[in-house]
Amino acid sequence: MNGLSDREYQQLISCIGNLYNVCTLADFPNFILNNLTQIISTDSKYCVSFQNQTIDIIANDIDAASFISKITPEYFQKHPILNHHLRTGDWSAFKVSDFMTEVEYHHCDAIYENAYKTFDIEDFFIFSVADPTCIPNPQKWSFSLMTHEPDVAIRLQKLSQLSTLGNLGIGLNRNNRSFTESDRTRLNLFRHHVARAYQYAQRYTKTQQQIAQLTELTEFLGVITLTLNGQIKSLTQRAIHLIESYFPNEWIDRHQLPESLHQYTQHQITQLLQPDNNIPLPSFQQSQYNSRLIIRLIPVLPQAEIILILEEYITTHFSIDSFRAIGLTKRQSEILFYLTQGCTNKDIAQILNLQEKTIKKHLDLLYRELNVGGRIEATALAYNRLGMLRVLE
Amino acid sequence: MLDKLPTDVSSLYQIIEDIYDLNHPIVHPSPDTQPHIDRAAQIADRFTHLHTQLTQLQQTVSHLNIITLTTDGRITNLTASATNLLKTYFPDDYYPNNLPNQQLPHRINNWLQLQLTDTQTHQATPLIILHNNHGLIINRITIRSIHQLVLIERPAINLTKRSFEPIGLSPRQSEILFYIVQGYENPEIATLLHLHPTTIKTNITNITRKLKASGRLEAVTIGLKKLGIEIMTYVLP
Repeated sequence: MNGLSDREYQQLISCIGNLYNVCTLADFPNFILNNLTQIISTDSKYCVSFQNQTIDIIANDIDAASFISKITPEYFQKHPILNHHLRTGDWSAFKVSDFMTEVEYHHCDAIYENAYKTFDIEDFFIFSVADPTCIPNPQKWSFSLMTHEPDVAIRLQKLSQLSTLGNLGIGLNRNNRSFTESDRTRLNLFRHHVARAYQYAQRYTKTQQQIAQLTELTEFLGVITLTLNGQIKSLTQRAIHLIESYFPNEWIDRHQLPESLHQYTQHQITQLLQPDNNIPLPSFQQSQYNSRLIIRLIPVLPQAEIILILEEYITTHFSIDSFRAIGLTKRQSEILFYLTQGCTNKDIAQILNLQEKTIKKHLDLLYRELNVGGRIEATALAYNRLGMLRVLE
Repeated sequence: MLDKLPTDVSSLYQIIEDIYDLNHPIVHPSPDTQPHIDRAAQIADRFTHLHTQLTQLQQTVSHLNIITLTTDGRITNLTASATNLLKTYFPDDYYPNNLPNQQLPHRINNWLQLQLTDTQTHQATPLIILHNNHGLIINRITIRSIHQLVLIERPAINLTKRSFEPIGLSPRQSEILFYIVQGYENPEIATLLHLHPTTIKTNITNITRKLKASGRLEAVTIGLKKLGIEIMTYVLP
């Protein structure tokens, strides 16, 4: 049909099987190059990947860094395959002989003399796999962006920021002009699978990243998930720490909560499962000298799951920093604190080593911010908010 | 390597191509295709497993009250339950439909900006917002220069005219201190209670004496302290 022999098909089939192993985006270029070896022989090959605004070049049998250093602005302008890819949006496999005779190739300094010749490359295939989430748009692509940049590293950085570029480019090199049409056919069949495997790798990596992000988000909070019969399904580092310090000798079976907490949750679950239950659930409290652990229970009955949220508090009375919690600055909080201790402006000025009129200025601003008439109202407001007082007439 | 090949290898190739398309219906197995079907199933399993893990985490997180912010304090992400709290506490100042880069309600934003500019203190102070019979405590956690707000809702403490009686004040004194706590001036209290301003003054003198306070403001402080009203500061990890 497309001129491949049975043997070539067999090779392809076995290679494709390997190609679909789940792997992360970071490992993908290496993975592809290794699999490519099974279907086509080369003297060197490389894979260029653009992801998250970075460019990554992995090469086999060729020094990637030294190859990059040979690349000049002219290279981009004159490179026949890159230009064809970008102009047409057809990212399939093309070889240099599609565009240039051997003589033309050898006479093209920017491509051959300065770059490929250094590595004895006489023939090469290049194909790309476009990011399915972005449509390559050659019109938007501008060589001038990086061609006017003398520094190679910066040029590559600029190149990698072009999101309209295909996301994965693969190059295969040989030391003689021997690539065939059969090679092209196999590469294009292979390319189709690379594109799909690449999508899988993207999906896999994205899901992994999301999991990592959410795990990090909760890791700093005390969160425990339980089954309805009280078995621990998951718990964060912070939760482990809090349970260990508030139930020092009580936590023996690590698959279950400490006995007192276990009983509390079981009792709550029984309550929850009763029909038409509307009673708000009380939280569980465990106190230490000047701190307290408060545990809230959130039922997720459709999933038959219980979430416990552990919060630790330091319990104090009013201090010079307390009033910052109602949105005051450190200085304002200090001044208001001394007011509540019955100090006059003069006293406060002395304590804080400030001018009395400075205190007055601070207070005027404070009253304005709190929208109150004077010191009595300000203190009252601060107390009410801070102590979370609800005034019942 | 495959043991047996169908007469047409290119059609086997087509079938195998379909097998690895995870959205494609399952292909009828044959000795040639079985290893590929097994492998595709393995891959699908890995994806399903990862997806289940993600869904469970998302489920748990949606019940936590967390807001993730950019370095300059715009919302990049917030959980469903945090959205509800913001709607309740800031009914006029929170419109939950312009994510991403949405602004926080003004009061939270002012508090946050104040904290971000105040480099002297490392310990973040929470913000407390009262609403009906509950208070919202807003805490900031900063990890690798990403700010997270953890919202905690706590019931408010009820204060009545009789609240100060258990700490040794007379019903009248308790009532007067109750009004002082709310910020009323002496003449106002006199009018409210239909008493002479001198009577209020005498009562306040007695209150301060009983509570060993230097004046009315300190009386409030001591009174609240004796009631056991304390400040609970969320301990940041």
